[in-house]
Parts: sequence; C-alpha cells; structure tokens
Amino acid sequence: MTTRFVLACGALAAIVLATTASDQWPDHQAPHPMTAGPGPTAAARPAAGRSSGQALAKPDCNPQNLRASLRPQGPLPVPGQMPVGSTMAGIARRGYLIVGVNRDAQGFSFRDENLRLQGFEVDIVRDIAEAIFGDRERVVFRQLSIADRLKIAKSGEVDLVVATATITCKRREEVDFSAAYFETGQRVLVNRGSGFTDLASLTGHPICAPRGSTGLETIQAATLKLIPVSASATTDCLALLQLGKVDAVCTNDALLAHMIAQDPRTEIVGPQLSHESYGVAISKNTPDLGRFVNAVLERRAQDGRWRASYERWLTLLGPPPSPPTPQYQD
Amino acid sequence: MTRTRQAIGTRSVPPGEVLGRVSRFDWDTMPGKLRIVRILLVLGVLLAGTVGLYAANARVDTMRDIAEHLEPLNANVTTLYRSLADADTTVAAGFLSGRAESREVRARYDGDVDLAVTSLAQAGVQAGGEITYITKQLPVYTGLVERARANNRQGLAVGVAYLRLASDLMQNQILPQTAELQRRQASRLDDAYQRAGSVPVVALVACGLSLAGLILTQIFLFQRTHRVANPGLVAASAAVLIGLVWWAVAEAASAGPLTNSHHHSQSVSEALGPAQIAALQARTIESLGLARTGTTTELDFNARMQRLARHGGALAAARELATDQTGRDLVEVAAKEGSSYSTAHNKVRQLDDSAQYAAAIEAAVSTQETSAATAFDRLDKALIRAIEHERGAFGKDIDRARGWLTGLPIGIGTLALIAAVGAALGVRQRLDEYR
Repeated sequence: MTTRFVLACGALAAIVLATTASDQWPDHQAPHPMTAGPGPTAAARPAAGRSSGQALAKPDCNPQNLRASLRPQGPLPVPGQMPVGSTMAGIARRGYLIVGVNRDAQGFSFRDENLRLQGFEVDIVRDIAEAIFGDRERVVFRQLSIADRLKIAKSGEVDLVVATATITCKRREEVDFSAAYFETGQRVLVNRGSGFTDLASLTGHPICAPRGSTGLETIQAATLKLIPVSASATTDCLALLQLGKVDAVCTNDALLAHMIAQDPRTEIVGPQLSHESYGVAISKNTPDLGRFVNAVLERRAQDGRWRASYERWLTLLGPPPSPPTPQYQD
Repeated sequence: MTRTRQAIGTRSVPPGEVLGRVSRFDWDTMPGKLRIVRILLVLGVLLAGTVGLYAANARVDTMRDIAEHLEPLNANVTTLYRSLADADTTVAAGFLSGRAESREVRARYDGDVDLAVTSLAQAGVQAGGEITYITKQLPVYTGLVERARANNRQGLAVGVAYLRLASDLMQNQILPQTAELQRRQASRLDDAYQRAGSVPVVALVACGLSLAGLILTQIFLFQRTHRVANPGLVAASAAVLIGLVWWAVAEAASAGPLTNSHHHSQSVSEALGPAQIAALQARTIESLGLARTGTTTELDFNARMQRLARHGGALAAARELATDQTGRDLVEVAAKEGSSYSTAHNKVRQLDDSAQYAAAIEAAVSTQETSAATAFDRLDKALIRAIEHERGAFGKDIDRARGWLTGLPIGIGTLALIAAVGAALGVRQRLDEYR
C-alpha cells in the first residue's frame, strides 16, 4: 500500500513538473554544439516545449500581434547572480554564451581585419553576455547559414540566434522571437544602367535571394514571372550579380546598402516591398531566457546603446531612427 | 539460252579433271590418305600458330597498355584529384588565417593549380573527351578564386562570397567529376590486368590439338611402315612442344611481377589515393569548423580519419597491398603521421571549444612544429612518399613481367612456321615412297 502511494505521488509530481517546467526549466544545460546528440535532457525537452509552444504560437498570429514577445519579469538580475534554476544560471555555469550569427551580414555581424566578429548584432550579443557574466567576451559564436539558422535555434544547439532573422508568423510556430531590435524592408538591387526600375520590370529575369530568407519567399510568391535563384548567403547574391548570373538581388534594404558600399556600380530601385522586423530567435524551451533578452534589449534601447551601435555600424543607412517600440504578451 | 547454259556448264567442269582430283585425295588409297593428312596437319599447325601469335600479341599489347597508358593515366587522375582538392583546402585555410595570404599559402595553391593543369594536359592525351568538363571548369574555378582574393585585399565581404562560389564549384562539380573519371579509370585498369593474367584457352586447345594430330600421324605411319622416326614430323612436334613450354614458362614467370604491379596500382588508386583524399577532407572540415560556416561536425572529421586509419581503413589496405618492406614501412610512417595530426587537431578543437578562438586559429594554421598545419603537412608528405614508392615499384614489376614476354609473339610465329614446314616435309617423305 505504501509503495503504491509513493509511486502515485511521484507520478503526480512528474506531471506537475512537466507542465510547469515551460517557464523555468530546472537545471538547464544547453547541449554543447560539438557534442549535441540525443541525451536525457534532449528526450525530456520536447514534452515541455510543446506545452509552452501551445501557449505562445497562437493560431491567430497576424501582422498586428506578430511582434508581441514575452514580457520581461522585473529588473535584470545582477551580472554573475542569475536566478537559481534558470536557463541563464545554466549558461553562467557553463562559462560562456553560445550564439548563432549570420555568417555574412555587413554592418550586422562580420569579421574585421583582426578576424574579430563585429557589428550591430554582435553588440547586442555582447550586451547580453555582459548582463549574464559581467564580461562581454564570454561568447562562442557559431556562424550560421540563412537556411540553417532557425532550425539550429529550434534545436537548442545554441542559446540564441541573432542573425538578421525577420519575425514571421510561420517562423513563430518553430521558435520564439524577442522583441524587435531593427526595422527594415525588402527592396531590389540591380546593376546601374541596366534599365530595370522595379520588380515588375524584372519579369522573365533571374533574381537572387538567400536560401531560407523572406526575400526568396517574396520573389517566389510574386505573381510576376520572375526566375528565383537561391544562394547560400546574402553576399553570394552580389557575387552572382557581378558575374552576370542574375539581374537583381532581393533582400532587406539594410543589407542592400552594404552591397552598394562594396560595389558602387549597383543601385536600389523600386519601392519597399515589405515591412519587417528583426528579432532574436530563441528555442521555445527557454522562455525565461527570452524574457531576459527582452529586458536587455529594452535597457539598451533606453540608455542610448542601441543608438550608439546604430551610428557606429549602420551609418550607411542614414541617421538613426528611434529604436523599435517593443510589444509584449504575458 | 538453254544451249548456251549447257555449253558453259560442260566447259566449266571437265569430267577428266574432276575424276583426277578425286583420285589424288581418295581416302581409300594410301597416297590420298597421306595428302589429306598433310593438308590437315599443315592447316592445323598454322591455325594453332596464328591463334597463339594473336594471343601472345594481345597479351604483350595489354601489358604495354597497362604500363604506358592505363597506369600512368590512373596515377595522373589520382594526382589531379589530390591537387584540385588541395588547392581548395589551401585557399579556404588561407582565408581563415587572416586578411592577406601568406607566401606559403600562395605558393602551395599555385603549385596545386600548376600540377592540376599538368595532370590534365597529360590525361587529356590519354583520356580524350572524358576530361573536357574538368578542363573547362578549372579556369572558371581559378577565376573565382582570383576575384575572391582581389576583393579580399580590398577588405570587401564579397570576397568570401566568391570563395564560397569557387569552393562550391570545386566540391560539388569538379571533384565529383574527377572521382567519376578515377573510378572508370581504375575499373579499366582492373579489366586490363584481368586480360593480361587470363589463361589463353583457345590458343592452348589449338596447340594441343595440333600436337595430338602430329603424334597420331606418327603412330599411324609407324604402324603402316614400321619406320621409327620421321625427322620432319618429329621436328614439327618438337616445335609445337617448345612453343607450349615457352608460353607456360613466360606465363608462370611473369605472373608474379604482374600480380605485384597490380597490387602497386591498386595501392595507389584504392588505398593511398583515397587516404590522401580522406586526409584533405578532414583538413577542410577542420578549417570550416573554425570558420563556423558549415554544418559539418567533429563526427565528420572522425569519419574521415577513420577512413584513412591504419586499422580497418585505407592505410590498412595499403599495408596489405604493399609487396616489400620499404612499402610497408612507408605506410606505417603515414599511419603515425595520421595519429599525430589527429592529436594536433584535438588540441585545436579543445582550444576552440573553450572559447579561445584566436589560439585555436593559431594552433590550426601556424607554421609551428606542434600546429595542425605542420602535422597535416607531414601526413600529406608521408602519403606522397608512399605513393611515389608504389609507382616506382609498379614500373619495375611491370617491366619484369613484360621482359618475360619479350620475343614470345615472334617465337610463336616462327615455331608455327617450322612446325608447318616440318609436317609438310615429313608427310611428303612418305608420299614420295608411293611414286
């Protein structure tokens, strides 16, 4: 009788744990990128992930509530003193943050002359590292392709993905996004003097966008008869344009501006084709980390760091606008 | 009309002549019998000689084909693959090391392209149309690499994009095509070895039958005439017998060196060549892992090193195929360098995994004694030495095998003529007794 009672209590406790674990995953240990594989934590996570996924990926995702992210909970903890049992405490114990970044996004994340990763997004990552460790250098970067970045964010192989990822309803079914940290829109880049004036004038012509990007979705979905060409990275599209393999490139205008900086014989034509926001992609299994990231983003928007970073890396885009206004849900 | 036909018919077949011929080759009379036997023997010996000559010639040709055409092409394609893959690995590692390429990287890449072009030119003479695609794509590849460098020198990110396009072309188009060529070439070489080592059944049967004919004729004549030896027929039998023995000895003596030379070419195309490629792929995975551009993992690296391994890998096969102590020693050296490289690589990963990126890069690409670059270089050189040894040994063995066949076709032809003349004269001697 007693054994049966203990077993029943244990089972009940396990169920309660599994359903409440979504917000605060106890004893979080992010799998190492090099040793990621099926393990006890990997096996246990999907159950917890599903429960939080149902709570967040609401079927009625629309352009109005698209950017709503998890509300920060209270003030940020003191660096080096993460709440016991939180995802951040797990990261602190590991000693470094693992972040996936875009492998070539000029201005956002790129290697400088000394092979050091720099850029607008890298500043965000280092601010998050500072908030956890009090040390901006405690980061292991993984450079990801556009096509892989969300898959890897979802898998939990990395803690965060900060890789020029546009927040979309479809993507929100797979991962959580932070509040928006940058606003942009798709436009079209062509060779100067090529005679193309907008997307419609490119009917029947090859046009390039990175595989797995919203730009590729735009040109594939266009009712015009465009010939979509996918490349493995954004800058590869510029190379293909220079080689004459494609007649245009379609991606976010911030990235296009950096292409013009590399090749002044190109120009942006036509109107903006979309309005998009970049967000930090985070596994649905670590919502506490999402709230933490949002708190960091909100603080750097308020204390002027967002603006300073913009002025340092994105001068090509003109004077900095005001930071995106965060939208939250609970 | 009818009359004309009859006239022609009458004139074309004179009754007397037909009768006369029938009587000369009449099986029921002794001279007729001997005449028929003489024709059969001469034709039989000549036929056996022709078949033997053809078989010997085919064998000599096949061996020449192996020595002068198929094996050099096989080695050429192996070199081609290695130099192309090495060029790509070198450029990728060069970009990783910093903004400006070092002189070593530049020299190594140039050397690779140079070697690839030379191999292509030589293979072009031998392989014809099969390499057209590779010949066309190589300048496209080098063009992309130069664009990558030019942009890189100016600090433009599009340089890396060109490098990616170049690498993509190399890894997904040029190298698979080269591997396909290599496979075809290796199977052609195996076929040739099979032909060169096969038993010439038809020639042996023909020789055996004519020898049997000669002996039966002598027994028949002995029974009829009670004369012991017929010099002509004895000479003919001896000639056929000498031909058979010559063939058998040449065959037996060349079989050893031929098998050894086959092992040497197999070692290059099926063991040491693949080992070289596995090592290069491992090095590329290491570089890509550091650049963190791909989805390749440590598992892929280990898989490549396992493919190369001394136990159960390409180097084990190479050890099996080696026919002399030097060959085996060279394989052991390569195996040792392979484990040194794995150790150096683990050091790189250890640094990288503990977020010491700059130190990891340094451990991977520096020219220091303990760096992965140095260890890889030594492994690469050890494999090249082993391949050079096998190729040298191949040359010696195939020359020995061919040496045993020297003069075989001419010998067989001459012996067949001697046998034919002997048979004709021998039977004629008996025939003369009926005149």
